[in-house]
Amino acid sequence: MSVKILPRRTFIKNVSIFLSMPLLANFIDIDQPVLNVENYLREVLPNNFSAMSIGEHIVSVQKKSSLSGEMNHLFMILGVAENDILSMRKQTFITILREKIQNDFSIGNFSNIGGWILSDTEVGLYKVLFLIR
Amino acid sequence: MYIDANDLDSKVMEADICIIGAGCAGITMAKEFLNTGVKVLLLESGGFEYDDETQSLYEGENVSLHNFDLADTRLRYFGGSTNHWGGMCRPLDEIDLVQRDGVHDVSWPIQFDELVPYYKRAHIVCQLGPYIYDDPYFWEKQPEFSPLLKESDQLRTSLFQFSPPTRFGQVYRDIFKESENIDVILNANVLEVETDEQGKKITSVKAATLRKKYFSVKAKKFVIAMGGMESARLLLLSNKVQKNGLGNANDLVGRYYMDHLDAWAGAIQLIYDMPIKSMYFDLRTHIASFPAAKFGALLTPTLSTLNDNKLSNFRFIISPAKTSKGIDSSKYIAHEMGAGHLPDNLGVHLKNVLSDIESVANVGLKTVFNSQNDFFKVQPFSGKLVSKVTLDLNMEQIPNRNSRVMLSSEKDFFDQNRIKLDWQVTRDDQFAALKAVEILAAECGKYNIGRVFMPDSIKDGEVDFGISSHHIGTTRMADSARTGVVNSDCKVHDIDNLFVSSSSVFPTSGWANPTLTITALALRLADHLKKVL
Repeated sequence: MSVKILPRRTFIKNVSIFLSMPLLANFIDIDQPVLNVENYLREVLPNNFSAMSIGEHIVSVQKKSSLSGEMNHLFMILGVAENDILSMRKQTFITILREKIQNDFSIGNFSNIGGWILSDTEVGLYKVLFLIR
Repeated sequence: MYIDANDLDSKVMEADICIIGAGCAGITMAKEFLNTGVKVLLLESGGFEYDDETQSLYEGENVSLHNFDLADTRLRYFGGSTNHWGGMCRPLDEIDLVQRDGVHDVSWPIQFDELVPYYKRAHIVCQLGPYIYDDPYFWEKQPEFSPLLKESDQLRTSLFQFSPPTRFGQVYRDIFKESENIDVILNANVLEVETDEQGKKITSVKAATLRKKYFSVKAKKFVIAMGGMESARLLLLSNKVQKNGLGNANDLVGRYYMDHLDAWAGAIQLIYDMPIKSMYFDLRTHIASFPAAKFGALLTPTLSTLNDNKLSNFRFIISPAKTSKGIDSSKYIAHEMGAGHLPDNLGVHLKNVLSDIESVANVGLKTVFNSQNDFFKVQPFSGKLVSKVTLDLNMEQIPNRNSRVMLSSEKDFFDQNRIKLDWQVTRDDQFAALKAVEILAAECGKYNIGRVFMPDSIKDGEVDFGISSHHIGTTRMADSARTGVVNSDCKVHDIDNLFVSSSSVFPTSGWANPTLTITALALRLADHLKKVL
């Protein structure tokens, strides 16, 4: 599979969006930020130990890939534009994400990653989360 | 009355019905004739207690994929294998009795509805609660229990009930003591079923004790109730007139041997913790509405799942995984420190480690001392919530002609051929296991229950299936002698007066444990014999 090379400007912008969420959220929403790793896991996978266990397995088997490529892939499969995320409330984003994941399982878009049966959206998300970290 | 065969004066005994084998089927049948005026002889190989010499008659040759000891899965004394029975009871599903395209081409020659009254009577014999399994209002009446995947159209929660378990040899021992019409002959090993010259009618059975006292029993009707392996063996051994053995003109006796296929199917990492007191974990749950019953719950496929995917039936038994917050936190701290990060919520994780120091110490000390044993005693489920469950998959085995009980060249104490078992599973069984776990994984994801971990053995179709010691199928029931050994009345085709009462007559196995169905069929056969005697 070919990885799309992003212009440096777009790459920095994407990373900035993710990393600045905790700050941006303070202005956009009184809620917690959208894509903060820990908060995301707590919301989408409320059991922190569950999230850790699953994450540990994926991390151990995934090949390294570029953050920018994975982020763009994630935006694409979520059907969300980068700019929309900036104005999106955390709960809205989580709802989109959850519906997409649940829909993946409904239509058979899931795969076996180190034994864990995960939705394709999740796999993309965990890659991004890991690469950010 | 109980009689030790070693003390018999007569060399020939006579009865209306001779039942061979005093396990759940034999005892259930004999019980039905109490005080009826029908003379019944119930022959049992063993006595009232376990005996090594008698048990060794069960030894045999096992050339199966899974080499278990044939003498370990059964018990040969009064009460039979109910003496080590776990007690799980559940009727078969209606779909288990019908031919299914793409799964198997065999159907039971009786309707499910016809079995229901016998299942209800079997409930009393097995000391169960009311006959409640698939009552749609059950969960509404039990608001304290929340079934998983309530909205799913692929999987459902099924109930089973637990017998105390009924040790038939103990619970029903006294009722035969003073009986005038039922004699139980102990230490009576049946060696052969003898027929007339045409091989169409049974004239007697030949029996002996381990002290080599030989005798025979003449009766109007004979019932073989010796379990899924031994019933086939006796038919094969009885080959003086019919050279391939009784009921074996079409080479079916001993074939289609099945067991419930057992496999560790992975785990579910739950998104929301489950209470430790869930019915899925506490398999003997008492419910206020039904004080006499003990219920358990498991996950099973819906009818549409089975039909749409052309799958054999299955169940998932789920139990709390052994988790330790102390060990999880230790791993997390080590992982983060190793990556050069200061762990988030370090205080919380340190608290977890300290509060569960015994588990953490066990892991460390076992590693240091290369030991398998724990150094400190740990209660694995001291908490009230469960975040991870393990999955035990127990499946219907697809009937397979090549999976069979045969006669070995090895001989037993009486110079009788022992059993040679060749239990075989197929690629279709392996595929069914994979599909079952995939369906569960999809439903857990779709309904936000959790994520499923699938072991490589399931994924790769290389499961080393374990046994459930449910011996099924070797004298299967069918309308025609071409496709089955016994007919819908459990009478051996083309033999006037020989019947089989055992799980060996099941043409298919479903996922339900067999004892309740064995008991129901024994009651049904007893009713039939009352009519025809």
